[in-house]
Amino acid sequence: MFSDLVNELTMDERLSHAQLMVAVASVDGELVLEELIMIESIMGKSMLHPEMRVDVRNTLSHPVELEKSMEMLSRRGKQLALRDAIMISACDGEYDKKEIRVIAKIAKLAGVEKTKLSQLYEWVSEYWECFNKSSTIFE
Amino acid sequence: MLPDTIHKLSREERFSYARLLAFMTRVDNELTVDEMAMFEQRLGTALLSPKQRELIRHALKAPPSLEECLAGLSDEAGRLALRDSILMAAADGNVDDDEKAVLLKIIAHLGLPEESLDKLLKWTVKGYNWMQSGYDILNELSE
Repeated sequence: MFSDLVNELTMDERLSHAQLMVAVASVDGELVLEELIMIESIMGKSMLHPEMRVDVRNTLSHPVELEKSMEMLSRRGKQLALRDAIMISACDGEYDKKEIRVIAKIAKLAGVEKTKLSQLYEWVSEYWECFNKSSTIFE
Repeated sequence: MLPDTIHKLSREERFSYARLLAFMTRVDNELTVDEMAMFEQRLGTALLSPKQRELIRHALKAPPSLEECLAGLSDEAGRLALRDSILMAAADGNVDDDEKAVLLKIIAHLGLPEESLDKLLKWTVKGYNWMQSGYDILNELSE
C-alpha cells in the first residue's frame, strides 16, 4: 500500500517476484479473492508491462516453480520476495501450515535467519493494525 | 480480512475511485515514478475491467474535472478515494499547496470536517515510517 522498492528491481526480477507471489498464494490449494487482489496490487506497484501481467495471470492455475523464480532474483529481490510472501500469506486471515513452510523455504533460499523472519512476521501484523486504523479516522 | 475494502465497492464506484486518483496524479503537473507506482498499485487493488483500465489510463493524459470525478462517488467510495488521494499526493515525499487545496475540496464535497486532512496525513506519515521499518529489517539482513 505504501511506497515500495520493488519497482527498483530489474523488469525480469519483477516478473519473477510476481510469479513467486502466485506460487505462494497457490500453495494452500486455492486462490481467494484477497490473494488475487494482492497479486494485482503487487504487479501494479512493480509497474509490470501489461503483457507480463497477462503472463503472470496465465500462471494462476499452473504456478511457476518457486525455486525457479527464486533463482532469477538478486539478494535484494529475494528479501523483498520474502517480505511480500508473508504479506500475501496473511491476506486471507491466517497463515496456513503450507504457507508457513513455503515462507521458511524462501527464507532459507534468501539466507534469512529465524529471528529476522520473526521480525518480518511482526512487521506484517503491524501493517494490518496500521491499515485498519485508516477506517476509524472518519468515525 | 484484507486490510482494504476497495474491492467491496461496486464496479462503477471503483471506476470513479480510480478516476479521482488519476486526477490527483496531474494536480502538481509532475508525475513521479513513486506516484505512478502508487497509482498502479491502487488500480490493481480496484480490480478494474480491461476496458475501465484503458479509460483510466486515458484519464491520466486528459483528466476529467474534479467535479466530474466526485460525482460518481458514494460516501464510502469517496472516503477511500480521499485516503488514497492523500497517499498518492504524499508518494513523492511532499504534499504541496495545490494538492492540499484539492484534498480540501474533496473533504468539503464529502461533508467531512477539515481536520480529516491532518488526521489522514498523520496516518500516512505513520504508514511510510512503517514501510521504512520494513526496509530497515531488510537492510540489516544485507549487512
